[in-house]
Amino acid sequence: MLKKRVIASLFIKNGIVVQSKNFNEYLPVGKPEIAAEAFNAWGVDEVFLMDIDSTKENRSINLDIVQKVAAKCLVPLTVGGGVINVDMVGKLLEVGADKVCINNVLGTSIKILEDGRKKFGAQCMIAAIDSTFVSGTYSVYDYRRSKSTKVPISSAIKKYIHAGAGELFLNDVDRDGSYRGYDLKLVQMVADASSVPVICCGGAGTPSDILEVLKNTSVSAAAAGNIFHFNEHSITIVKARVGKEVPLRQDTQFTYSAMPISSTGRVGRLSDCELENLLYEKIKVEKI
Amino acid sequence: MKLAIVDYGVGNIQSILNSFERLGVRSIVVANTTQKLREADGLILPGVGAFGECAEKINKNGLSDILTNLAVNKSKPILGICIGMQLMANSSDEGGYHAGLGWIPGEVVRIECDKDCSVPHVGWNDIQLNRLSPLFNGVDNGAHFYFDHSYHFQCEPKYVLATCEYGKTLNVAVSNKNFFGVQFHPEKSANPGLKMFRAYLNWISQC
Repeated sequence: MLKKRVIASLFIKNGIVVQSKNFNEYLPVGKPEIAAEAFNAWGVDEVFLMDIDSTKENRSINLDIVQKVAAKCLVPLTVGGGVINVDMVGKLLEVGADKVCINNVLGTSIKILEDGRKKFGAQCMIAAIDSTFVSGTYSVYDYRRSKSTKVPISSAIKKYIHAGAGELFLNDVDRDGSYRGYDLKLVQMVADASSVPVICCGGAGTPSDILEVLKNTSVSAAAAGNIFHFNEHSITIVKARVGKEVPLRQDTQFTYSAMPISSTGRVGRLSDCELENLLYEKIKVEKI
Repeated sequence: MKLAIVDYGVGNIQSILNSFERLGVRSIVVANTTQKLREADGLILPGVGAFGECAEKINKNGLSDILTNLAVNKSKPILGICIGMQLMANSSDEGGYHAGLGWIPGEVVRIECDKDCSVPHVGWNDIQLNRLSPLFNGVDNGAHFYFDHSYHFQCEPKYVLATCEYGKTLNVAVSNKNFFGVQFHPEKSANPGLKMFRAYLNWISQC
């Protein structure tokens, strides 16, 4: 059975990972390759690496960073940021990206999706849609100009899939960094309208938010950035909580599955009886 | 032991190299010449993208003849990944009829799905091992692997090593003599993928 995915988004600014709020406030976290290595060890299903400055600065993401992250990443790696043509897609795939996320350029031309599908296959072309809720409808947001383009989300979805997008990455601008949870209505609407897998992002504040969106909508994957930082084993703990109700892949050596986990992601203590049973149990280190 | 990744201009070669580097394999080359491929003890045939384009590229430069000579006549172990596996079939329906290498009798056809699942099949799925095979030595039954494909390999059960459930049962690992093929991406499947590569290496060293 296909499992739903929990994806970690690494947003890069000036070469370091940041937490982002509303696309305009940033808190530095650290080196991307170190974050990627930790997330891999903690059982993340996929990693997204996005350079949030590159489009504004008319350049593509630094290939050196991609290469360093890819070397630490044993799960699929999607890279985005300033990708405007197929040559750039090719370069990113060469240094170790598995998929490429296309965003801003789609506002003016969808040729990159058509060309990319022919050359590399639809499976590695991910179309990003930044959504904002303006005067009663969800529309595509242009982060370059920091305002809505007034293009309805539904028409963008159709256009991108037809052109060759293999997956959609839905980013909710209004909830970015808000910790208010995903906008379930928006997510379900996009999942219904899309014939390809949808990844939703924006707003996750607790493991319960991820549980809610994976359980109550038909979305394929939930991505989050901010909540995974500054917490040891963050991914494992979130997956342990979500995995109690939604089928997930949980094959890290430590799964926290026996631990009580609160809705805010706080790990509780095992009962004395269970702790006693653990005494003298040798946990073998996995050798490959 | 020497390993060679067949380079024909497509494929996620870097991630495969990264995986083998993790396993401590030093002598691994990316090659497309007879000599370098002949020197290797085992081959890996990668592939992503469209079947037609991959088939065309592998037929160019006479690479398919080189591979056929090594794999069929000299019985060199070869592992196909994703499209690399599909290329081993007789034919594929993807974007019109395309002939494959015909090493493992079977056809590549589009995944048919009801409304519960969408095509492409993207994400982590658990695989069921049908029988003992050197390729899955040490890999747990039910281990999760990463998939990303719209077409699948149809063949007689005797060639099937493992399956997964997606709408219906899909063949995800096949073999015939020294030919092995996996539909999923072991290089992107965390520890189970590494274990499978380790099993492949062990098998090559015994050949």
